[in-house]
Amino acid sequence: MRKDILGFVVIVVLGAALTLVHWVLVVIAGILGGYLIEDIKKSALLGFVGGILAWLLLISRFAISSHFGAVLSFINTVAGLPALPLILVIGGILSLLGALIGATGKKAFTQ
Amino acid sequence: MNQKAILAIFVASTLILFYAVSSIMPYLTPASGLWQYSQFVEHPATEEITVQGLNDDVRIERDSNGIPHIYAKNDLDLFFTLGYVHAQDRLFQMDLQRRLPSGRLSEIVGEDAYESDTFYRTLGMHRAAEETYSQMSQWSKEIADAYCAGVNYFIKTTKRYPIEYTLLQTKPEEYTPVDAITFGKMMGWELSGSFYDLEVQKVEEALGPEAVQELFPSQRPIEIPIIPGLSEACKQILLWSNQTVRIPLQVGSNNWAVSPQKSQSGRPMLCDDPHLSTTLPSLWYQVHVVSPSYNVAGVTLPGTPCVLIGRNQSIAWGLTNTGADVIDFYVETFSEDGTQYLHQGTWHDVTQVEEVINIKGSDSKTLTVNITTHGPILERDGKQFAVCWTGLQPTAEFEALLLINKAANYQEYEQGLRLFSVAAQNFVYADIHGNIAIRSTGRIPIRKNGTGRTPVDGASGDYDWTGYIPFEELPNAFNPDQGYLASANQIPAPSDYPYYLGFIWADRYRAERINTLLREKDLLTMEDMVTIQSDVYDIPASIIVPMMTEVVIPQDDLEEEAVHYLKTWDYYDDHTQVAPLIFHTFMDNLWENTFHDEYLKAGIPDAPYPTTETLENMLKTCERTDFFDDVSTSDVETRDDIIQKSFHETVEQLKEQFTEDIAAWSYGQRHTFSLEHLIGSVVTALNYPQFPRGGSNNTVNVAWGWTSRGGPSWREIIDFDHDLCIYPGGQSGNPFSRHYADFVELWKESQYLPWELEEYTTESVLILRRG
Repeated sequence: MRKDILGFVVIVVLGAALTLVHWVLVVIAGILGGYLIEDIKKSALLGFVGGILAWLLLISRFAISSHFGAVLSFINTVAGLPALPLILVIGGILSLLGALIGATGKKAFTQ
Repeated sequence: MNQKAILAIFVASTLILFYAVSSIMPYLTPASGLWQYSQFVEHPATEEITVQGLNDDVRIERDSNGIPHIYAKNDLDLFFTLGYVHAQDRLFQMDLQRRLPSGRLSEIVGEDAYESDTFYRTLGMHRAAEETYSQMSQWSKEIADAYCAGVNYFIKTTKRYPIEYTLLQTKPEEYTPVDAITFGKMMGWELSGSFYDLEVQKVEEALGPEAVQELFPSQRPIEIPIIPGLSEACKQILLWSNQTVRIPLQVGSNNWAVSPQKSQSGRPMLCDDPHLSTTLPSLWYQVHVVSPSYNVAGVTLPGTPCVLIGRNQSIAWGLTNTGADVIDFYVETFSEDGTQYLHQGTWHDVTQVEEVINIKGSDSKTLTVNITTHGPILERDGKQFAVCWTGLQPTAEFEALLLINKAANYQEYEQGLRLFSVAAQNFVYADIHGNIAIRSTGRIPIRKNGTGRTPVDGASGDYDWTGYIPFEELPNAFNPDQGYLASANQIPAPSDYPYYLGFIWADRYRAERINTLLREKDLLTMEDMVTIQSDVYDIPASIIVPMMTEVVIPQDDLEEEAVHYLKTWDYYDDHTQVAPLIFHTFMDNLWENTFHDEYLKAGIPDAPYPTTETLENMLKTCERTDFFDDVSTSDVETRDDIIQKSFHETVEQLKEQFTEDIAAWSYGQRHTFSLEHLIGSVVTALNYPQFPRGGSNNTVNVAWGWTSRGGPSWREIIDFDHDLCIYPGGQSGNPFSRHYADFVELWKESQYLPWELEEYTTESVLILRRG
């Protein structure tokens, strides 16, 4: 349980921090989190939720602005899709895949 | 499946996802992406920045309309700050505007801009700008340098570039004085560079010189005079002018000045509204700048350091395009290997310039530009011409405008006008001493022979330019007895004027209407000025509709109703009315039915049609029936047949487009105004929603075409007391700012902002501290 929490925190906090450097690096946070969580199913779930939370955390910096609604509407129009759910799901999946790599990698190499 | 195989699948899935989302992630990454633009949308209420290189502190107060009032203790700091402020609010626009005429758009948008870049690199405005910069006076060079230093300081220190850079995934480069001059020349090109000569040649080749003379006559009666000594000619016009010339213009302007004797307040009044393409952000950026030498307010072109139209403590001025013919095309004779050209019996080497065009996402391409004594060689429709245009020479518009900006009286102002070369403009003037004046300025060539209306032989030298019309002899007037002066792109001088000025003039209608309204009251007020600028009375409609309704025989109830609407119309192109919708749709059909068959038969379907005034004249005089005859039928159609046919088609079209309930039709349903962002065709979310618009091509309050993308781009009414101004747009280039398009609602209702230079509400203050 403790490992699960630790892994989840790593995914959220490190994921957010590394995303500031480059969005791809959220996978690294996922790998480390998955490595700590070990269990494949838990890694998948916590990786996905953790990735979403990490990116939500970052976007919330901008969401406090009174102009966020206008910007979101603009981005939705440009993207032709609801951009906020889209980006959060992308973050979640990237993190999920990272966590699965971490968990399976640990198993593969300990075997 | 073993763990390593599963691991490999996850790694592969991750890589596939990277690839799939990598194209959208630069825009959506939560670290920055487009999300970041919700922050720092407006300027902070108070801010201080320490700037290395300033000589003293500078204070910038932005008022409640986002207009900066810059207070500097010396001139160089003032222009540094103007550059900084321009970049703060309009950096992307400035960048795009300098890239287009420099032929450097491909660097940020890729191969799609290559053709445009090739054209501008060949034309060589940037080469002319470099030459201009090298010949600038030291004082104006220092100002241009200071201005660019301000722009570049912002580029270097800003935390965030405008949103367009994120959308295009690019970054701004250093801004140079040559960029500023190149953009100035681009404005000159838009106002005075054109390929009409080549279009006219096409018509001449296909239909003969007689047709050209009829459709685009070179001789025309004197119209509304810029020089008031031509009052007889003015009366003549108001009675009826027998014909006119023109090719449709997509630029134009109105300006006029009223003397204190004709002004109810006893103060002179000056009005100006340049008709240009309207975009978001606007071409214009309003400022008020104050230093020991300058206290000037008005509109600037972001990217350039001068107030182009405006006022200072003593004088006010405005511009209309003169429309003079300042471009000729020469057919050169080249040697077999193309390295030499013949000129006045001697072979000369072709000057070759290599231009490297860098293309985003592709290899650079090298373009070789050939230049003769007449100018660069351009290819159009498979033919090569040397282009001789006044803007391709070193000119001094910056010095001119800077002198005008600080002029305290007419004499000082005129010193500036003398330097203004491209594009030729009609400068209207008023001052606090009660003087009014108007003057055509700019380099207008004197040709050895001919007019250069169509391409001429370059080898003989017989059509070369020998100089320019002397400044003193350009059309001008000062404090006329009639108490006002006006221009609306009409021919500036009478037919006995000793120099050839050109042949592309606006129809007389706007000038006629302005003169009528200025003349009909003994004493004019600011409210009258507002009324004139927003006037949508359609003179051609008032002439053509009675002719048309006399001829038309309605075929059904709907046509009967349409005729009724036309007969009861007051001839105002109000967007809520039915009649202007019918009339202008009818005019489109009339043009098509009159000219398209001949043009099609002659193989020039895209050649320009004559304008309303020529068509009006043909309708009235029926001098030549050939054009009314539909050459695609065996019958010989008359003017009345074509009117009947055009009217019938009009009602059918409108019935199909709208409903059979004619009362539900309105002009504004079809006649709209569009304000698109500079990259709005790609990112439509940056555009302002289209809205119904009154006016037409020939009303004082002009609106071109059915979806108008231009018109009164700036309106100023100045009486040195309660000045008014407005433009369709807003000060900020940031689409999320409240100042992005906050003037549009006022503009479309023909309302104005009070132009306050001293008593304004301060919204934000920025101090640039000397570092």
